[in-house]
Amino acid sequence: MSGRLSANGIVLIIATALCSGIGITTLKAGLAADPIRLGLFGAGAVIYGAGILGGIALIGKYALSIAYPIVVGSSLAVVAVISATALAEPVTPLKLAGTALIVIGVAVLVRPTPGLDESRSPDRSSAATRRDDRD
Amino acid sequence: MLTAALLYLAYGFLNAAAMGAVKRATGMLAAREHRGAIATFAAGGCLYTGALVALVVLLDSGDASTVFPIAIGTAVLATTAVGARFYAEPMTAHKLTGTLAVLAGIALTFLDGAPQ
Repeated sequence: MSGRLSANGIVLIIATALCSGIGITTLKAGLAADPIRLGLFGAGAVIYGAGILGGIALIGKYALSIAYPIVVGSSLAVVAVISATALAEPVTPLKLAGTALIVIGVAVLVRPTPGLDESRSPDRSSAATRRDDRD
Repeated sequence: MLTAALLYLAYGFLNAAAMGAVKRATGMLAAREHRGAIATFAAGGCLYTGALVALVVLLDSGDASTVFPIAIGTAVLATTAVGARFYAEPMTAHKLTGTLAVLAGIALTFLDGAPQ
């Protein structure tokens, strides 16, 4: 478990965020068509599934406090941009504020507790980050 | 609105349970318990599929840019609740702050146009 992101980790984060965002918007595009476009819907489900697998790989490889907020934040940004441009969904200040608060809340929630998390699992999160910093 | 709230809760808790199953399966795989790991991975896959069904129902009646942030926020809160209830993870000050921020974000996004 590493606290620092390697180049491969950054690529995996970008791929995971893109898969989640594109998967959700493709699912929505398939559902919004009349009649429902099963091909688009199926493609969305497969792409979203790839995003879930990417997320599982990231959480297994990197400290939760680093990988999770980045994946959540970037996935939400991708969904906001694609849904506004491709699906013509309205982007309101209330929606943007709500999404920003969720991302900030997730980042605060998964931040390791000093002392507590280190004593519970010394090989994870902040302890791992410190070890990496020394190296 | 009640149906939508229940679907978000279903998505959140199914997602949290699926994540727990996959984490457990990974541990089993490391301990070379291959049969148990496959069964637990399969259970995780079923739970993820259930979560996806709830998400699809929500997406059918709401904007992607509204449904997805609320679903993600609910999943994070469900994971925190499961951790506190079943793994005795303490609710520290920063966890409480994060929970309140996520709840406020969900409320704002929900007000903006969640499925009716």
